[in-house]
Amino acid sequence: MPRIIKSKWKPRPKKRGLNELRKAYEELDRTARALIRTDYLLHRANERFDQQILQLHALHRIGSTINSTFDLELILSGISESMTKDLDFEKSGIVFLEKNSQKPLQSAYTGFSNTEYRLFLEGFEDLLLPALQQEEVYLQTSAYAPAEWGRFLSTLSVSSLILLPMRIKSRLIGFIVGARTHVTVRLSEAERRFYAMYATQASTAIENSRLYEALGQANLTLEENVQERTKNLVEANERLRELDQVKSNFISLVSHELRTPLTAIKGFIVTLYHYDKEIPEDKRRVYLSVLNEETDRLTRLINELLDISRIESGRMEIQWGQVAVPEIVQRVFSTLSVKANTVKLMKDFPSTFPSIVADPDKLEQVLVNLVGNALRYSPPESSIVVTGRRHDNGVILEVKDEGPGIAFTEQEKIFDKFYRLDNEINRKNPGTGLGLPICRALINLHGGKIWAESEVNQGCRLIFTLPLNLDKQSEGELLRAQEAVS
Amino acid sequence: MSLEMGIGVSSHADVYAAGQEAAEQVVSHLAGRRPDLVLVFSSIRFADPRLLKAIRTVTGGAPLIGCTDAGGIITSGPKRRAVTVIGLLSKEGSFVTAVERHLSSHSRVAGERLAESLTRQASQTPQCLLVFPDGLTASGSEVLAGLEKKIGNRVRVAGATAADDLYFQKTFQFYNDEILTDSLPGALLCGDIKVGIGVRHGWVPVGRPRRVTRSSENVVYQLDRRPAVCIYEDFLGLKRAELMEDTLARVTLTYPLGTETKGQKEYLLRDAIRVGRAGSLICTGNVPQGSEVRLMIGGYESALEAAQQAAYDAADQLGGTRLKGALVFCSVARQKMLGSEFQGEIDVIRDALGGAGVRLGGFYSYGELAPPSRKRSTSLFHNESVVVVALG
Repeated sequence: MPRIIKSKWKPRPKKRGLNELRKAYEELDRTARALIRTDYLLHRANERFDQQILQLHALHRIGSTINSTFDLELILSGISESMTKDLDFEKSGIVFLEKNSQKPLQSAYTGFSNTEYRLFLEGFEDLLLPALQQEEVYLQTSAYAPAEWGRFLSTLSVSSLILLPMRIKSRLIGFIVGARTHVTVRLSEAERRFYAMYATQASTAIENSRLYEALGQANLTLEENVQERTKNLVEANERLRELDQVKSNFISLVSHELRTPLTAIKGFIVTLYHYDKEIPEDKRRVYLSVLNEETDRLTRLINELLDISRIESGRMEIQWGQVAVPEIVQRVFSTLSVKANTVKLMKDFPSTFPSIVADPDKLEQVLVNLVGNALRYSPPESSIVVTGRRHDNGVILEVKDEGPGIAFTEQEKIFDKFYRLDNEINRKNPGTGLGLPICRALINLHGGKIWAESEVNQGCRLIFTLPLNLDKQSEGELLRAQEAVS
Repeated sequence: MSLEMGIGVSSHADVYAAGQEAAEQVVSHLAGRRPDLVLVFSSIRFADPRLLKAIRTVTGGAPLIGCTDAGGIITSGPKRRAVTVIGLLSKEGSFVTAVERHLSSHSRVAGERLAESLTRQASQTPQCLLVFPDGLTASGSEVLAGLEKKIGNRVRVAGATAADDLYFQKTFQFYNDEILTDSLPGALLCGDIKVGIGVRHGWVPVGRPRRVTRSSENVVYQLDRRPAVCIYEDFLGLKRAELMEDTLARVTLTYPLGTETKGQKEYLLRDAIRVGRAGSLICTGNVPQGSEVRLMIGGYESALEAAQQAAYDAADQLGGTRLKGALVFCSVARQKMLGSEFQGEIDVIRDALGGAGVRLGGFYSYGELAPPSRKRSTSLFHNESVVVVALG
């Protein structure tokens, strides 16, 4: 059991006690300071944390607003409203720039009066654009602003203004503005980062909307293209079908046309071969003349087919030369005089009728065809007149008959290949249906035009023009000219 | 039913639309009837004549007073960046309003004039005076002294000073169609209207006391014979230059100066808003020379307890009358100190007043005015405090 020792404690002198108390008191005060400092730092951290939450919330809100649409107008007004509602700017706006000129194109604003906003945009070239190129987050405040900015801020009735450039791949596409009547002296690094993020969010939304629009436009164009191509294909297909039909018709017609003379030729040859001795001389002569005619017809048909083929494949060559049209007409008349029988062939050319540059053989072929056709339809004792006149830059020629004429609806069709007027005469005189198409092609090759004018029972006029073609010279002439020079 | 209260809030991007929206909610709370008195508190973004025009179009030109804030308060909790409109309607009671301008040049006289003008207009017994002075241009204590001189012994004064979203630059006051600054709008609640007022802060002192060796009204020149600003340099480890810029007002919101007042449980708090010449501190309220001040610190628990106590105090004073609604004027310091949990305080007040169904409206301010206790009718100017005005 421990012994109880009586304490020898004596109160220390009063002064010493007071000193210790004071020391403890001061120590407590120091502890309080440390406590306050820690508390202060904690508060600051907490404040920053709260601030960041608020900013994140603003970013989230703006994100969900502007990413829910591709409508540029809605995006712009959404951003402008968010600047006011979430970030406390009394006046805010967003401007989208034209791609090439970098001039304001479209914008939305909140809080500014119309006049203020107009004045704001008027400062674009001189103040805003240089500022936008300067910094990622540009702050201007009336307390420190240079004179021109000071005036600018006061016209907008604000004390501080913040500009956030929006960029896509370093290209300036627009900017956001926020203004307050209170002064914001400076922005912390965190605030700058936040505003930069905010602007990026906005520019991404705008770019998305633009791309979406472009995509939509491309889609539309593509659809239109597809539709047009489809239409073209359908048309081409239709044309091919028609061509196929024409070709089938052509082949059956050609085979028919070829077979008719061949059958006749074969028949007469067989007869001559087997019954040579029994056939009287006069009959033999008739047979031979038929053989001759049919061979001619075959030759003509083949020539015409070759002509068509040459024209269509672009292989028809024109042998240019000086042509006196009346002479050719005369020659044609001579060729056809026998066939003309009682039909009078007449020509009417003024004495001043010019000579033209053309292919004489082709021209003769055309005239033989036209006059030959006219003869086929001309009643006995009627007349066929070929006239020629000077016309514009060339001549106009006309072959006129007194036959049954051609109905208006048929006047163009007769120039189609293998088209034949359905009438008594044609049924008796099977032709190729190639004569007039060849004529048109040859006249076109000369740079002229051909058409028919007629009324039923009033005769028919086939008219064609030919240019003088003075710039075209025959090779022969060229040679002669060269010889003359040398 | 002697008094009815309607609350509306809006944060619409367009100022006019916001005013209209909030005022329409008030009218619908009042079952389609227009209020007799309109109180408007808003973020500085809404300090635009179009706001008042929109509200008055809806409320039919009822007298209107209010100010800009640092956050609104509605039944569901705090509401930042918004406009809050409160409509009061009373059959047995009546309301008169007035405004005094150029507060900074004669704070005390302005207070006296406002009180005179209001009492002149009142046709019924005044019950409570609500004021929302500019808190940056004038000392709240001086304004209050003027008011108290004229009607303090008969009428209790409650209210709060205008704020500007923590910019500490310029606040605005609302009076009918006008947006004013450096002004003092006020409304007198008269007749059969029951009013209960509670005020608390919950801040506690730390460190040893400092004696106010030199001060004049709201300017403290020296503490313990050193420049007053040294107290913040010492405690926070900040340089004077840092405090000079815009840090001081933010710092002192959380760490105000406290003075002990006779017969009061809580210290009376004073915020320093600017560093003046030779390291003096310019405060929102008066600090008497010769008194002792201490640095104060707020805590989450004690702040919420204080809010609850303020609500109980206010409700108790209504006696048997049923509570119709409450105005809440809360220091922005509390918002800062409580951080992201600051809505908890409004929940505590609502629950203390009866929970769901109780309508609350008010704002976050730079300074609060209220009589510190039931026994004492003269009001004091407070900081870091929450004022609950229960209406019945």
